[in-house]
Amino acid sequence: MRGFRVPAFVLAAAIIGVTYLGSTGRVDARPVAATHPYVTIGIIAQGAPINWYNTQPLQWAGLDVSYLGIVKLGVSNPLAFYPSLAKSWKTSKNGRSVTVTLQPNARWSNGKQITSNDLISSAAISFASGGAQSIFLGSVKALNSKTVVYKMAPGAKYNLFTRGVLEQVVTPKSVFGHLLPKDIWTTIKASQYAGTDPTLVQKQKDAVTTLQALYKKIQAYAPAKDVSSGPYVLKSYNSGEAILVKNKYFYAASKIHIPEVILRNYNNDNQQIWNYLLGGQVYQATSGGMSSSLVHRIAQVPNNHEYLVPSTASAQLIWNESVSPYNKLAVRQALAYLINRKLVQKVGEPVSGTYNHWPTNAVDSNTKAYLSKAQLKQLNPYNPSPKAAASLLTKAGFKQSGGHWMLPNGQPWTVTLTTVNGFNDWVEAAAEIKSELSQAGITTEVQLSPSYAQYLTDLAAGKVSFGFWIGTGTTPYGMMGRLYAVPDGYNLEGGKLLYFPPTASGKGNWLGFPQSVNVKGYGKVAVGPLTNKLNVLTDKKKIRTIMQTLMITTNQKLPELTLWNYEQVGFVNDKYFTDYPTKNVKLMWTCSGYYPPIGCWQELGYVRPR
Amino acid sequence: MRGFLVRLARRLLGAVVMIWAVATFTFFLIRLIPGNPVQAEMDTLMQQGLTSEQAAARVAGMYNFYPHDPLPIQYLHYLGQLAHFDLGQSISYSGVPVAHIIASAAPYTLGLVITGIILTFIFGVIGGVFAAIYRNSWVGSSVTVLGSVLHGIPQFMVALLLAYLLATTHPIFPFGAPYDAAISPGLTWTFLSNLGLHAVLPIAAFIISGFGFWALAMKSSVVTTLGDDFILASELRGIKPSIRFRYIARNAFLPLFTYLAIAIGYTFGGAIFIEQIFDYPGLGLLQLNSINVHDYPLMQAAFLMITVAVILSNLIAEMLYTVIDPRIRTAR
Amino acid sequence: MNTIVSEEPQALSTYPSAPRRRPSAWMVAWDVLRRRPTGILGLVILLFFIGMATVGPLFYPAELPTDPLHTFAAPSAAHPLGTDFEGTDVLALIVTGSRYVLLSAFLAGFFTALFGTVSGLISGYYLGVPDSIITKLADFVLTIPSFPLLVVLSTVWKFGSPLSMGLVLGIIGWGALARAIRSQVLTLRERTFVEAARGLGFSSVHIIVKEIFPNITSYVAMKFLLAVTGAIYAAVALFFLGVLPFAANNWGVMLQFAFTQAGAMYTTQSLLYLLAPLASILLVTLGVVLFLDALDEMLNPRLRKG
Repeated sequence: MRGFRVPAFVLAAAIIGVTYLGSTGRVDARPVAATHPYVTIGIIAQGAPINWYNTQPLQWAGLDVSYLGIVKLGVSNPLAFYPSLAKSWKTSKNGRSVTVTLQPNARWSNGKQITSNDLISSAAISFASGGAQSIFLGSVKALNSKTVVYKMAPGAKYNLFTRGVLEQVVTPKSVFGHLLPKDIWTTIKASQYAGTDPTLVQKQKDAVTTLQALYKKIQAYAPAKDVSSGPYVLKSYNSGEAILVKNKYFYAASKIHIPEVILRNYNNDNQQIWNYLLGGQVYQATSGGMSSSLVHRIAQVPNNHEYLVPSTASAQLIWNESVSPYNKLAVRQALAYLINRKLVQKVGEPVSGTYNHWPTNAVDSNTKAYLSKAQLKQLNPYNPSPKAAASLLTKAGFKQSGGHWMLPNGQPWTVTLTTVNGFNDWVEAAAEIKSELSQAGITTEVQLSPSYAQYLTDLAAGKVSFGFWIGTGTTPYGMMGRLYAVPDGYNLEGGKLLYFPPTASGKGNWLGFPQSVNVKGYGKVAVGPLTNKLNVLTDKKKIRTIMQTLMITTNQKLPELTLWNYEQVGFVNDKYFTDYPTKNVKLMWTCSGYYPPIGCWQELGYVRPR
Repeated sequence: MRGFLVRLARRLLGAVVMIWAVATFTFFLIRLIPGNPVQAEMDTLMQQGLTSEQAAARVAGMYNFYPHDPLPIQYLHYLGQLAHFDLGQSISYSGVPVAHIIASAAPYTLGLVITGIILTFIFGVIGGVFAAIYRNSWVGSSVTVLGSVLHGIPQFMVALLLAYLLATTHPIFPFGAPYDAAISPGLTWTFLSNLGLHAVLPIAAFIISGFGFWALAMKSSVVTTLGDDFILASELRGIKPSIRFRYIARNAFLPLFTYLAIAIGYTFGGAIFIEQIFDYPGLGLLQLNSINVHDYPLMQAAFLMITVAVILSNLIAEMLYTVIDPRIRTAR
Repeated sequence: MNTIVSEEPQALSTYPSAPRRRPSAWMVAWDVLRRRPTGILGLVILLFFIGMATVGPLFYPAELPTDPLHTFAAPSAAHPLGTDFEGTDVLALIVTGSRYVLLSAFLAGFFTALFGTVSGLISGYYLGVPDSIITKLADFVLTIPSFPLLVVLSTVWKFGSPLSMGLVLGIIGWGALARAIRSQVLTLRERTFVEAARGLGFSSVHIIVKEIFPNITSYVAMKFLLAVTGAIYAAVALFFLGVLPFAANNWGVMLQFAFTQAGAMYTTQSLLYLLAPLASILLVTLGVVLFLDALDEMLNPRLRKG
């Protein structure tokens, strides 16, 4: 062994030394371009095909994939869009058809024009995937090489049809067209049959099966190259890095000033992002789970600037009202008065969260957007008040014995709060809530669900009596339906709204909210049908009234308790690039749905090299 | 020779049976994992900021890939595929053949993890021998202490510390990719040196976190050997220390063989944290991600790799053992 | 004890000036510790932590107070090691968490070593049918994926107590040790002293326990140690699997949170939240190693002259 030792160390040193010298001795072995490439974070799925339809595509929205329009996020007008691949669009008066005109100079990265043929083939694939059906698309017709008419399915009622059409991704017919059989539109038509003729019904079922099998084939397809409709096109990549170069045929190529974008992979591990930010090695990134000292430290790195982007996501506590004693409003309200939401937010999400003032099933900004000043004053913020809680509990029949609260039937009361492994902020919040409730004399246990997938299953099966929920939604129906549609037992089947109580197994009603409640100032409110109207009505005033009703109902009847609003915390680095839109909150919000947002920012007129 | 071949054939047959047994057990085990991953995936995407339409579009079609046949039929189908060496189609990659995904992950496992294990083994064994022989002086004690301390530090911490000290605050080494994406892979000096440079930190993390195990294992093995009669006898006979050293080493080495075989088999489970932090997505990371999404075909294939690797390496170790250690040969 | 030493002629005895009678076990122990002070250090460390685990939690209330306005605080008089994510004193967390962590880790180590050693000894010595059964079982246990196994197991059995956790980890981890011991036993059983014992008519059990086992104690001890540290970190994984009830004072969980929630390595603010549990784990590991080293020498006289 003695003779072994010396060569081993020498060998190791030699290898390291030679490789180091051999790769020009610099960390970044690439020759320095005239303009720096823009380095940012993106998800690179190892082994995935360059196919947008795959669940894990090797493509990035905003970079090499464009939508017809960029939705302006902000709930008040869900039909507001920036033009992208679509230059203009016109919705018919009854809202049942949309005519879309493509940009005249829109081209794929291989030079070919983006035409209505591409739109038609994309629509066909969308029927195979179920996307077209989810926006109630009925038929598509090309008027000329750059214009297409989208018609809603007859009999369908949907007030966001235009949004659905504009949010479509356009894929090249030259890449995917050959996968579609010649009779695809006949199959699609057969699958849309809604009558009662048994032969045709059978044909309809077969057509659906054929379409599903077709989509599976399309999803697995691996094109040889990236054919991009966006500002960049993929040039080379490995598991950690992807290099995209400017697509000179992009319709707005004149707005794209950065010639190269490099993506660094995000492996579900925030530490990677923190390292990059601390080293000044990426020029834009968002991250969760940062402590305030870490944010401070990152901001101190030269040229790093912090920015905040609001979101419509919130963390909520929910109760299963079919489980005693949570069926009693007094009990839920008592818990709301005992939980100090300010402290819970400080513990759970000190950096990426803000305190939510009123439980209304909406983030504060939306609450303020829909409710009048008078209505806001009437809302109950449920500020911590042990006295109010005690009085509510006593009135409900609870008794105190030896410093602990007991159920009306004399049994000791144990509250079980269920949270989810992996959502560290929820776990920490649960720990804090447990402390607060225990101090108030309520025995509390925290239960951890092994995964979010299992948590959702348990929730739908009614196994969670008191747990967490993500509030979200960028449209009125999206927001309210998150609570009052399927989770409350209201399913849309065949165009009809059906209700299933919590006892109906497999239907997923875990909220158990009463079908009709008496709300002060509004009389009897049936949340299910009311929420469903949000999906159908086109009158903005009516929608506004319904939103107000639902928010106030939530506040009074407390099916949920919003703990905090989520906020995206990010950093940009202006060492080599300038003109960031970080002060334009609306634009930041709009582009926040793109990972990474650099393509969206440029398309909307920002960011250039110094 | 004939006896050897017969033994080998019998052992191989046993190995195949064992692989089948584990594959069957795994098949049913993973289908017992509860949860609805598609809904969870959608929800998580929405929490990140996607609209529900975008999230739904992203996971559309995922449901189609989960098979709906009754379990026994699925099992027979699986066996049939295996017999044709067909590993099926991935669910989380919407139909991409599993073999393709595993093939793209394999180079990272084989390259990084096996190199790491071999180097760790070498350093650890050397350390262990020192620790054992000089265990009554400060040399041996310090190696023992060092080994224990390093062993106690979790692997992800070592990896992060290296990344932070040597790639972030002092950017001596690159970090975040196996090589520069601008360089196309090939047998060129530019590529190979770049690959090597990127590999320094992850391999160092491997060695530092794995050193303790092998050092302590070798130490206990050497210590056991030191107590043997023949060592005593060779001392009495006045044999030179260097030759005695060789006697000790060869004998102490044997049991480590078993551990090495198992460890190499386990490389296919990979060093998950190192793979994750340094972006070397090998089989370990693949396994972890496939579990979260309930991607059954991918999970099965990944676990099958480990099974085959461990059983085969055990087999090889056993056969080699009888060759190397004559004392065992006469036993059977 | 290894019977050979007592049957060796005087000339080869390790105590050249010792009287004819065998030194007592206590004298041997004291002698070893005197020459190997690291053994004393190991013992002291272990006693310290055992004391902490037994007596420490008595000084603190069942529910540790939280202070959300002073999360991740710097060390101060009131909080010598700072605070955690909800403002609880880190020192309190370490002390109250020690009981569960140490108990479950040591039990896991014990069971792993126990199952592995017993099966390795039996399969290596008896060969034949018991050997093939045990080897196949060991291989099976070695190769089935432990993570999904634990996930599925946790749905039917809540193994939250230290005893059940130790058992589960022992059941999952005995395979490697069994195989290693088996190969050692294969070698040992052919040695002359074993043949001699057989010739003298000693029973198999006697041979296994008195002749073979003492020669593999180093292995077993090392495996025990490795299982202990492994168990501490396995407990973290199990915690996040939802198997263990939530505990903010679990050392592994503290470590995990320090990294992911407090950015501990990157800022000095929550450094102690990271270092306190880490140092505790490392000290425990060290203590076990040093002590086992000394113990080994006490039991295996041939090592004593070093």
